[in-house]
Amino acid sequence: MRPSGSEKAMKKSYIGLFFLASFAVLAICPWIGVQGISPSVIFDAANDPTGQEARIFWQIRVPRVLLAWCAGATFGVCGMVFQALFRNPLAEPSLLGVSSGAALGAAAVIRLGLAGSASSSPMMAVGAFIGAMLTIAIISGFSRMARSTKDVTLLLAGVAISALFSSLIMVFQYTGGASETYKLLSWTMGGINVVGIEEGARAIPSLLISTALAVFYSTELDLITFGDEIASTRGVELERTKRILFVGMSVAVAIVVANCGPIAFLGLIAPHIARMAAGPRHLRLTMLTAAVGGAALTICDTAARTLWAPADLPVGIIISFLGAPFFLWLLFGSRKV
Amino acid sequence: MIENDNQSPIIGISELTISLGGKKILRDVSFDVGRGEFLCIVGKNGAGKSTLFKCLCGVYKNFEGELRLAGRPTDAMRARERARIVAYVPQSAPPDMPYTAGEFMEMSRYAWRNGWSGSKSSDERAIASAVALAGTGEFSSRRMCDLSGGERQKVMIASAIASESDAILMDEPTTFLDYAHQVETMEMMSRVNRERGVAMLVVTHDVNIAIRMSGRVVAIAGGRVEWSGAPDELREPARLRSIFGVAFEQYFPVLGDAPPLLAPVGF
Repeated sequence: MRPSGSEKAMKKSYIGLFFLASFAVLAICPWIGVQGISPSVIFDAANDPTGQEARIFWQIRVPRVLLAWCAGATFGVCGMVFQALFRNPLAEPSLLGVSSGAALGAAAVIRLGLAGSASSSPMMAVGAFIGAMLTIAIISGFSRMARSTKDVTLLLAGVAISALFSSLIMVFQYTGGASETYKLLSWTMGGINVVGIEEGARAIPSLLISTALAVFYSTELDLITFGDEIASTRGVELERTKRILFVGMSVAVAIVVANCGPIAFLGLIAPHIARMAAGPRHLRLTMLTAAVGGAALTICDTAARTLWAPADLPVGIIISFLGAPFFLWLLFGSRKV
Repeated sequence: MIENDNQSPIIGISELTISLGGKKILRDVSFDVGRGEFLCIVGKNGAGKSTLFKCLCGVYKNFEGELRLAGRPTDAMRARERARIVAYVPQSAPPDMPYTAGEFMEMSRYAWRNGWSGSKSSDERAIASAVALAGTGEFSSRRMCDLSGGERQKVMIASAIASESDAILMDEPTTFLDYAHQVETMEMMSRVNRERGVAMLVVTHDVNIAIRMSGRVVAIAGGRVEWSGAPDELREPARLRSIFGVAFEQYFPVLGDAPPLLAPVGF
């Protein structure tokens, strides 16, 4: 009935390794950077929070690593959920246009001068959420009109919407004032610039929302991959489950996009890597996808701020640079993932 | 939970009408499937058979008219209750499923579980007996994407049996199978029907299968019920022509007294 004991044990140990590695990344990356940090800063937080090393460590590196990990994990889990809902291994927030919808919403907030001076504001998150929901509404409207949930149609609609929204964002960029334009430009390229632990913690809610929903609906996601008719006649409340998951993932994506900009490919890569080790069951897969996505974005962000230091590249550039070849390999290299 | 009453037909369809994309796909379709009945639906491509199944499965809900399962209207029905009454078997299982057959069988018991409670002994018993009937034991630990089309189809049928529903809906279950698997599938269908009293509602293109297997045939053409009656009455040449849009001939076996086979003229 079940995979043999040894096979199961092997899978378990794999998963343990992934988690260990992911947390190691989380623990090690704050120590990497131009400025050397002595291990004593761990205690300085309480004793001498004003020292330069302690400030760099606690106010800049730790928040940044925390945000990167949570954002990466969220993108990964959202990608995994979209892949199940659309029954397509290529679905992910940015390909479906959800990210660019969120980006458009947040960009509109910046352009209208509602964002304030902080690198990200609650208003941007609201704008991003509205943009993401709008995209979901348009895509599902199209699919109803075309009366096909043909996954390719939906993906293509997402690509078109994505292009449309990107062009609108560019209009914002070109018509804005200098400071807005710079802000928009660096933000849309995807960048993790936060100061203070409070800003660093902003993606935690999105990680909690996406992971909790994916875990709670893991069996439903398993069944939905077999098609609507089978899922429904094995007992899944199709409409309600899909609606809750779409809205939940859109909220999560919107929060992350408002803070880090639209980062492409992560939602595609993380679930695929995780699937190789965890297999298809969504309960196990969710955990592993979060670990992989978190580690991937943290590593890329650490690379972004150290490779050309003191220049700080937008992490979106690194992700796309690595993600695009992976995407191609996925398309042409391996049919069965 | 409300008890299903045992007198009403297991599936009751009355004046079912549905439009998709502004086009009427089904008009005033009415028929019942009795408990333990074996009913075949025949008709041309695009006659509306798949749409009818999507309504029965709860995928399309924007229809007019009424659907009743075990006597109760489906609009007030939760998916888990529906799943205990009908289970769907697709024309062909999705080919790229990386789940093992055993994992899929476990999922098939979803309707009988509440939230987080794991698999109970009743689940394991249902799965074991379905696997025994369908002969899919050897596939349990194999991934479904590594099985052949015929083997996968058996697993899909085993899953429907394991869900312990009162009726199984099958959408052209033999279309993509080789002869050996076709025969095997047909035997399995009639065993499930006879031994377990599970009602079968089978969409098929194949007149011969419909005549051989079913207790009653419903013919759908242009979104309407064109005709319904006993399988042998389907042999009527004018009837066949109006249902399928092509003339049929009967071929009698040279030896023995097996019933004649039908084939379209020019076949």
